[in-house]
Amino acid sequence: MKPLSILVLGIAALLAGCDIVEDPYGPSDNGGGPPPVEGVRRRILLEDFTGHRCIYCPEAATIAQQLKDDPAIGEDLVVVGLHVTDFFAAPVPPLGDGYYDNDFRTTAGTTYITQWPVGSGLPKGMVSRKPFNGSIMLGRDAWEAAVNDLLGQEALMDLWFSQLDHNTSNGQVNAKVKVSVAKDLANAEHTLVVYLVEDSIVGWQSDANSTPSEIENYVHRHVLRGTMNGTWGELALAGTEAVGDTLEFTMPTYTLNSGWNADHMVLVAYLYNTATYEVMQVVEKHLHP
Amino acid sequence: MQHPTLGRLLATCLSVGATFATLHAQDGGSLHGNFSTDAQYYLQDSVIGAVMPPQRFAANAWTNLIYTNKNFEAGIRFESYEPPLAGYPAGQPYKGTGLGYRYIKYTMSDLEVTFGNFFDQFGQGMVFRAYEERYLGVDNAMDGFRVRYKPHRGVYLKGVVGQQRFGFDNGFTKGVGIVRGADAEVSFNELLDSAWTGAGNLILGASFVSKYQADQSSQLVLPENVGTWAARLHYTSPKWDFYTEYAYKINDPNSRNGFIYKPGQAMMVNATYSVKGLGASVGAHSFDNMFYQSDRTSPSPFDLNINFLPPLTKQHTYNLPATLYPYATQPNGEVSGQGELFYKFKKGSKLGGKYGTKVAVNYSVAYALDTTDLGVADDTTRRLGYTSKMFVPGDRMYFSDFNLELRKKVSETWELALTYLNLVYDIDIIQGKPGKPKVYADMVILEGLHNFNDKTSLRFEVQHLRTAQDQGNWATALAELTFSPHWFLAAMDQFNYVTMGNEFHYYGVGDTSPDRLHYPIGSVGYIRGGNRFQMNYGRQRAGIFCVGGVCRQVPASNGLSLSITSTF
Repeated sequence: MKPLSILVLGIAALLAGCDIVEDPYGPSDNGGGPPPVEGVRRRILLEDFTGHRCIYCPEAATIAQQLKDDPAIGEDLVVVGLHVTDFFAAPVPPLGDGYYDNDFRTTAGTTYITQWPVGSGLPKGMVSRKPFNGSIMLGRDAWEAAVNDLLGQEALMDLWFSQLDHNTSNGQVNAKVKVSVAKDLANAEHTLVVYLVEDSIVGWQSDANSTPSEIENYVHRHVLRGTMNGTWGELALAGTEAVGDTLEFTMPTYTLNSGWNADHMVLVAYLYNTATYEVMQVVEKHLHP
Repeated sequence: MQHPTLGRLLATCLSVGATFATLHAQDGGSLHGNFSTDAQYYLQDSVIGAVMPPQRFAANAWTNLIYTNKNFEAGIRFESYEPPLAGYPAGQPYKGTGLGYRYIKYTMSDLEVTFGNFFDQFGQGMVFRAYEERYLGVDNAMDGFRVRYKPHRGVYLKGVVGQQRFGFDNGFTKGVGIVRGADAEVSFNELLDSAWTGAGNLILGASFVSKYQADQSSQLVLPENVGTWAARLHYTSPKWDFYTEYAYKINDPNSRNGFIYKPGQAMMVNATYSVKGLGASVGAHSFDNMFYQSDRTSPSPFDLNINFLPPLTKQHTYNLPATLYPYATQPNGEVSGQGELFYKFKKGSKLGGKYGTKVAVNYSVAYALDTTDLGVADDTTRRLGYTSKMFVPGDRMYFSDFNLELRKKVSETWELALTYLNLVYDIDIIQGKPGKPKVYADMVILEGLHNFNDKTSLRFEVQHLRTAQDQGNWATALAELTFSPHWFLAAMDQFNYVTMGNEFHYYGVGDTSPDRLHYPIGSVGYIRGGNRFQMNYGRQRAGIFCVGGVCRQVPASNGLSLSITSTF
């Protein structure tokens, strides 16, 4: 082969290995939007373990909210605050004086911290219950990195509320959740849980960064109030479903506590891998759109 | 992912190899290998936030078997993670037991062909480096084939094609992308032989690498073939060593760079001068948008890296500087520089004394790249993201490290080394801890070695770190007693005597006094023949473990650990 032929072949090989894109949006560009993901986008669940007597928890709540407000993350993140431990979250007697009377603790939250101990204290959090640097329960400093690690991944499935009704006369909530399989589940079972979350509850909070350190009108965000289908939910996917299969799940009727503000209620549905507990997809929807 | 056909083939090759090794070793065939394991039994320790895997016991283990016979070589590596040690690996999870690596290789005249897994790199790796850093948990081995050819004296050609190792699930799994690359290198000293009259040698090289991944996006037109090229020059002489390499990457929108279409660039220049008793080196690096992974939505920065960007900071080996504030290369944008001077005062001189004195001074610094954001209009049009210029640093300093070391043999049986370090460390960027203030730390380290006799020696280190940020001050003491040739004993305590971490302060009933945490650990080791055993018991502080500018976080733990290595 002559040197010239080798040169021509070499240049041809180089050009074949490079696709230079001048117009990222193609001819039918409609502009903007978040970074692309092939298939269904995986959304992320941040469970913020907190308490109204925990002086550094407001700092953690701010980090969670900053992540939520970040346009690069935005709707891909669902935040839920779980008030846990007697030390940090129990009401302060005497009750009735309005001073730390709130009790935001839930059976679910209390159970979860026996499964995933919060270690040396609060605040702590889990990002889709996926281990990050070897730990599932993370200090607040690791949340952003853990969220970024999951950001932009392709999800195994999608889920959404196909029905959400609230009877304001008796407080009953009825919900149906649809799950659509987007990728091969490789025989992994997945379990569905639906949370009831109340946003923006005003009450006392200790805050190390505030003077005085006791805040009377602190706004508690994304407070977990209960679950519609139990602490550990119900088995939804056996893992043998085919790509494209869509299943619907009807939640047991739930009656809201009359003290809760229905206008601030949000329902959060998520699917976790039954074996690893990793949350593979999550969605939230306001009770009153 | 299993590879039954190739696996069976290899198994056959190895069994044949083993037979040859046993029965016909005198014909040249040989089988050799090694084994290593790191295991730990974890104990509860809520004071330090120690991890506690549900299994309580975790073990990583590897064994290599390599058969060689004349021009033929075949090898396999079994790996086991039942489960992996906490915090391991850096990237995609490893679990189960199975084949982690297998290959066959033969050499025929000037041609060498490898099939299966292989590690390799072009130049310094800025466009291609397949490597394993076992204790980091980084392994991006290629699975495909490689051809090396020497068409002429002094001319080296290489071609690689394959997919990269991704994770491990009872066997290695592969990423979705395909990597293709070629490299050519000319060594003028060898090429021109006697016609080359220079005292040194000049080596020129060039590389091209392309990755393929299908575009399935409904929102963007993604480049399916992303190419990079690099050119390098290396001049060596008895006193001088000069190396420079430049790399360029075409548009590579990915989750690390926010799916921008800006091309990437990297350049490194290093020069070293050394004569007996004196050495000096200077270097500068500039990296811009140079993450290059074979899956554009790779789950972490540790997975499926095609290239490697060498760090330009001193790799400390002392415990505190090595594990608390080591620097990790920032592939998205970094401008860094380093200077180093080594001098040995001669024996008998005023400063050298009876045995001579060694002095080493080193300074390195890394800045963000100076960039100008192109704004919203760009986001909806060409998505180039920002503009930048090579070697122009931005305002944000990521890291600086000034260190001075004095090393002196003070008597026939004593040698001492005194080191001072001053660090500036942007923990927010380097360790991904948003909002954490920059760390300013001073460290002093005294190391001593005393030989009692030919067989018994004591080495000790006393280290102190002072900082008002992050976790506050640390003091470390270490003693290692060696009884050659079989035994050694070591004890270390790390003392965090002003804890700044606010979580601890509120644990317990209103305890706001600073914590004073000790991390004691003891070790005993035994070496005999090709086998080495080491057992540790105590607390392991949470920290950072880095190799070559790539770092993973190690969680705090408490327990009993055992390491065994064996070769045959």
